[in-house]
Amino acid sequence: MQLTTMSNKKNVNIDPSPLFLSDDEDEQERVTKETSTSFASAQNTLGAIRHNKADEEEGKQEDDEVLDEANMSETKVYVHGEKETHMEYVKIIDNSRRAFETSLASTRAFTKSLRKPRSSCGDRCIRFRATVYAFWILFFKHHGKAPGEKGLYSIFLAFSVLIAFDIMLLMSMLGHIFGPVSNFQSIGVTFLLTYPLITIMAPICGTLGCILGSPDLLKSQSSMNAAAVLLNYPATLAVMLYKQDEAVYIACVIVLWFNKIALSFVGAKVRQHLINPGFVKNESKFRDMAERQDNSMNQFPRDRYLTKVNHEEEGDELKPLSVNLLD
Amino acid sequence: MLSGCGTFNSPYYLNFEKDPYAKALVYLREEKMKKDLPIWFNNLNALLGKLSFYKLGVQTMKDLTDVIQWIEVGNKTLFNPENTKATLYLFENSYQEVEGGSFKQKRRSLPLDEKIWASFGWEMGHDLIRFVQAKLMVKKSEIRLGVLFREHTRDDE
Repeated sequence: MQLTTMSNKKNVNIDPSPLFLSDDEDEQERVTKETSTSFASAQNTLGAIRHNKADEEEGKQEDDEVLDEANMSETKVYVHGEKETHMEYVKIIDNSRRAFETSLASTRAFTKSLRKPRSSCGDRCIRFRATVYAFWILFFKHHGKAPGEKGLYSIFLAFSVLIAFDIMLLMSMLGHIFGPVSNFQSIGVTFLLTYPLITIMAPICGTLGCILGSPDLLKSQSSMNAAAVLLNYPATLAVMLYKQDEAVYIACVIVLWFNKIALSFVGAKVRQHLINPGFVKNESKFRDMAERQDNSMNQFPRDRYLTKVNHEEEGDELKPLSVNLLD
Repeated sequence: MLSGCGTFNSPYYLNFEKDPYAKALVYLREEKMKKDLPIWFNNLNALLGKLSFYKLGVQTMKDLTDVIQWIEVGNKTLFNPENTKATLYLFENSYQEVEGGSFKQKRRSLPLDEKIWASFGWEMGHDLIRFVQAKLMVKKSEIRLGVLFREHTRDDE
């Protein structure tokens, strides 16, 4: 945007879409507007009160950018929530001002870009990175799915066993780190302080999450586990191998590492259940409703499948079939 | 527009308790929607919570199919009887600086309707996921998901 300031009168060259241009706007010509704005009149509105000169300039600029009503397009909308649903025409700002586009042209652009061949070296590298990251998510940041009604208690049991096992392994590692204390300077620093204290905090969060039934705490535990697996455990393992530590404790760290994978899988299911305990039940209820709706639509012709019929004289209203089915 | 970006810490989410547009859907038929709409949204959020384009292609395909099918279930039970249709949209906005603070914005979108998704087939669906995954990894585009509610008649079927 080019802005030229003169003493009394301003010549402002405004690009109609000053910040964002869409594909179809590339060909648009720049519009030159001559404005003689008076800031005094703007102060009479209930808009923001501007105190200094910089704000005044900004205010004038904003006023110039407001789209003229003539350039807005009329759109048909349905107004619900009143006694009767009715239709109105409203004026909306033209499509080029929207942040996201849903037009046919934008869909065509999307499918066109989908068809582009992506087989260059750069694309393959990106794909490789994406695959590695996908495996990382699969093992340590599992999103999970709400469990079915069957086997729910076995999942809870498995999760509590895994957490107890995690705590047991942690205690044994802490015993090794602090006995003798000289071990702290080598493996203690890497195990406890690479990411400070997360190896201890993660099982505590998990235990609290189980006791309180809090999905947020379980999520924190999962994030901490992922961080520990990424840095603390490999660093500890490296130091242990370098110092030729006892094989039992090396195995202990490896088992801890694998335990986190199991915790991620089972913990995700428990977390999803805590977020939405009625997921499976509600899903089957809606699917049944959809099935019945399908059947009834096949059985009855359109004129019998009433969406809304008002009998103004009698004052009663026929409900849609789904309401009757629900009731 | 759904919040979140499909990561572990920020999953896709539709805040139907605060979003005025989502809440306004109750007015389609208050006595029915008041009871069923929150349940439908809650389950939609559960499905969106596990949808991530960073996952392996097969997993993402399954998760995306679950979301699309759930929206279709919502259409059949809640929205179509009220002459409305919900469609999941995938938006991709990319920005390119032209000169002096001006940006060229490319706005693309793809409706992920059940019929469209079924017509995609495995190959095209996989291409779509790889495309989105690449865009997210490079971080040059803004990838968002949204649910669009439009007027729908029986004839549209």
